[in-house]
Amino acid sequence: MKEIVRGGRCDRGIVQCRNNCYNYANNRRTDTYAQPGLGAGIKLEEKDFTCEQVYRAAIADGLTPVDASGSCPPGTTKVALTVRPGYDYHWYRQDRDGMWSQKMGIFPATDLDNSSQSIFDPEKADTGKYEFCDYLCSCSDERQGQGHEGITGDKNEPRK
Amino acid sequence: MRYLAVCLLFSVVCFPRHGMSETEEGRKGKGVEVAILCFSGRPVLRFALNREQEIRQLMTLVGKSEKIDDFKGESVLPAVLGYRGIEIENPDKLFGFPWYLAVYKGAVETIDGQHLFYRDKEYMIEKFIVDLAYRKKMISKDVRDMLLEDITE
Repeated sequence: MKEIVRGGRCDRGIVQCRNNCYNYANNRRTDTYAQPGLGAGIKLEEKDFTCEQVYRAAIADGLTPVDASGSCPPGTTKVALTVRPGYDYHWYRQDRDGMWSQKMGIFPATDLDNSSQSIFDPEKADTGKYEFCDYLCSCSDERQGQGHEGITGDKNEPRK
Repeated sequence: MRYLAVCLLFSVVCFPRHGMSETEEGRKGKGVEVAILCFSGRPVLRFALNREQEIRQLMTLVGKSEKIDDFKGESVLPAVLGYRGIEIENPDKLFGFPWYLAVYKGAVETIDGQHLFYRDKEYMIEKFIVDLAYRKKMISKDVRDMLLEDITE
């Protein structure tokens, strides 16, 4: 039988399973399932999952604002925040070719949206019940997983 | 309605189990584990069914599903943002429950020597699991209600 990647069989030793959408968007592997703001001492609760709160938490991590039509400075990557209020948040990142991609939790990264369409614009993509919030710039790196933002999923982890 | 129960018994008796991976071997001794696949940023919701009553109740609901012979695709689980189903693993084969079951909006698949598909028309399996997660304080009432809405819409 063909092996299919399934969430429940996610071996904790696998990078994919320990790094979520926020890790992926920031191109920063922490293996701690990074949470916005935690690196700056902000612990978001479920009620805090709003555009404003998650956005502020990401700013606290070091991400910087950018306009929808603007470009991020060299060495940084444009990322997009979406939120389903009171439920969860999700991040997208813009890749070198200008298209967008995402990593939904423990699942593999993909450049397709919920309608299996390529993501040209996260504001117009099929994001299910997650609503678009805003864009930010993240200090990335040429090397996979080596982004420079101070994100973490472990509040006891020292910041970079 | 009895299709699943018969097929389960048949598969356990007549078909050898799939060879287990190292991961699956590592999961032995952990009982029946449930994963609700619904978040992206937040950690995966995982908990164990450690009461026989819970497992028996789940078995009853699974047994009421109707077998499907013409399911198209390799898995019932979609690749979407948001609710994407529930997985239940039972590497110890407790109580005759399949060693793997997945369900998404009433579409059920089991892997237990065979890969079979079923239909839970009233979403009873998912409703049971989500409500259990709420009673185990894994999710809030609001999230429970959102999940139930996602499952049944």
